[in-house]
Amino acid sequence: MNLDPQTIALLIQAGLLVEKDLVAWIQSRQGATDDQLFDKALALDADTHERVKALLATLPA
Amino acid sequence: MKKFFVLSLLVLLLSFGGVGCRKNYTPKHVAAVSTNGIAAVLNAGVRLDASLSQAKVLSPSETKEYAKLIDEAASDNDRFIETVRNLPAVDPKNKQQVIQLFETFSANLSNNFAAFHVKNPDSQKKITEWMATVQIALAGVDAFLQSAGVGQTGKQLADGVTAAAENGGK
Repeated sequence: MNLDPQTIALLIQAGLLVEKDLVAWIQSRQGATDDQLFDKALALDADTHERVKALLATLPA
Repeated sequence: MKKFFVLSLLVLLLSFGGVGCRKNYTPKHVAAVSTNGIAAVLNAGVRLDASLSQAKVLSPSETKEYAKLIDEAASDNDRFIETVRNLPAVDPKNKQQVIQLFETFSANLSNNFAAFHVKNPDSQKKITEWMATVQIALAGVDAFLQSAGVGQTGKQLADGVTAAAENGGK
């Protein structure tokens, strides 16, 4: 991946959509061990999988 | 709010060693932290998808395609996490392998989402903004891995965030 500073600046300025999520994530991850962090990431991904499943179930076949 | 967001990212980078301010964090630790960022952004993506679908500004087929892309990306993130987690450490012997694994994951994810477009302009704008946060999370992991001593990406990211902080306040 090759990102120049200007591109990164633009990406950050565009990235307001999940601001609250990122801030909460930063706060909740400080001081955690590697294992705790991996568990949290896997739990988040598991929640994502569940949400996808639930969303797809609402759609017409 | 933009300034707050940018400052939060700065806190993130400085707290977790991406720019070398906290040398006690190992590459494995910063990879662990960063994969949480990817997971958080993907989780936000599926909630955005559900929200746009409920508002009927995404068609069922668009909703389905977006959801499947997110699901695949979360599975790829799981695989990357499991690989890194099972290493005793990310060290000079395996670092290039880990970086290569991540960059393959990153390229697949970026290419898949870049090819995804929807009809409704407002929805497209929101999805594009969300995709920018995916890129930020990916750039973060890459920078953290590279900061173990390989390249300039970490410095570029740090410079970029500094520039964004300066611009974000205006």
